[in-house]
Amino acid sequence: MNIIGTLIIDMKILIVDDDESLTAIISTALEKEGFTALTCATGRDATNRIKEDMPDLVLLDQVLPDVSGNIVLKQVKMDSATKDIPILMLSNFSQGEIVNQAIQDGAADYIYKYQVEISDIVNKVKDALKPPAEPTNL
Amino acid sequence: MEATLLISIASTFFFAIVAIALSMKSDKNNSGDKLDSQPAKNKDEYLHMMVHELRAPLTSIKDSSELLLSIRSSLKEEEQEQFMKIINRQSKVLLEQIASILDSARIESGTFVLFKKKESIQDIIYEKIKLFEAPAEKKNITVSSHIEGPIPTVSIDGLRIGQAINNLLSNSIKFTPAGGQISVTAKVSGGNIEVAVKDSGVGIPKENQKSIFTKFYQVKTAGRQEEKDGSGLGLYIVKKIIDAHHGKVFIESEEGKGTSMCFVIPMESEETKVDTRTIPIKTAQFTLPN
Repeated sequence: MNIIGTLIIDMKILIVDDDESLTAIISTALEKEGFTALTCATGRDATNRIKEDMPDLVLLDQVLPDVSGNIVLKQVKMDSATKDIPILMLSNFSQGEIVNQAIQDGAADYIYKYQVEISDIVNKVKDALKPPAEPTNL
Repeated sequence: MEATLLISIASTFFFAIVAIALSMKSDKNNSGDKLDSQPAKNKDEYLHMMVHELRAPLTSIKDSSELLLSIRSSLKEEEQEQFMKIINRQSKVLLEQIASILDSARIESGTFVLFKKKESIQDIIYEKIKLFEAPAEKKNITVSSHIEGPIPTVSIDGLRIGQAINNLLSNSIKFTPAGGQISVTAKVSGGNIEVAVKDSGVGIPKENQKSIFTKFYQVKTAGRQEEKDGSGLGLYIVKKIIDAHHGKVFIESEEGKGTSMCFVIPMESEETKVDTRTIPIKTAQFTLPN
């Protein structure tokens, strides 16, 4: 599971959203870039799938049918087995307090779905998966 | 094709903006509506909810068209078709939501007008059931109609009564699990025509039943996840249409067993004549394959 420049080898992205149209669109866009896209539609499924599949990154919608995305985020970040998986929050709501809470709880980024191009989502996924830059010795 | 697609998307955006503006204006102007008795915080929540409901299909339309425009050559034919279908389906969802918001605005501004003429409710029922064949088939739901005739033709706004039946059927399909049943019945009782849409769906908790016809009201319980796909205006509009026909709406529901939503409209004798077609107990039924 490595990201080398823009070459993605065996990287799994879990998309958690109950909007079937949107999961189909994002899955296709990611798969065209070489990612393996997994999908689920509820918060409870997401918590289980994250533990079972150990995806390299999760795209997590804020508004889910059963629990909020922020609750799923908290659960994932509190579990030592899954806490290092980067989570990008997705939402069509722009409510500052929810965004701040998500960032405080460990979200790597917060994406307003209506504001970005689908290619921006793919780029944000790639950015979040890049290994941190090595410190340079002077 | 792409130019048409873009024009269609642009028109949809325009109508969405007009719908929100009208809805907000009518909320502001109307002193008698229940919404105005709600605290300001609730109004903000309604606005957020409405915006979210419109943004969700718009986002799908935007993203599908973007994929088609940017990486079309790398998409397989079936993938291209899938995204065109998403655009088509989500445009329809959006237009329905916009129509609901506009109707709601008309109701509150007092410009909701009925165009009455003598029409057959049973014909409207058959027509609406036909429209729901495809979504019912998708969920393997059986839809049947039971008309206890003869039902007189009555002076109604057929389009609006059709819209009421449409909203009731749409609700039932949404909240009836796969393999369930829905029946639409109509009969004459006293001086009224009764129409009921009964389903074997998830039901509505007792404490929520009295508010179910209120604007933006949505029941947040397990099994009603699809509620978030709606505008919360469908049943409110049903009640307003029936009110405008001097009728009443009723609900009977039991959690886990199903719901029956019924409306009754009076037959105004001077405006009615008995439908001469003899349909003692007409049952149109289609059972969908497993």
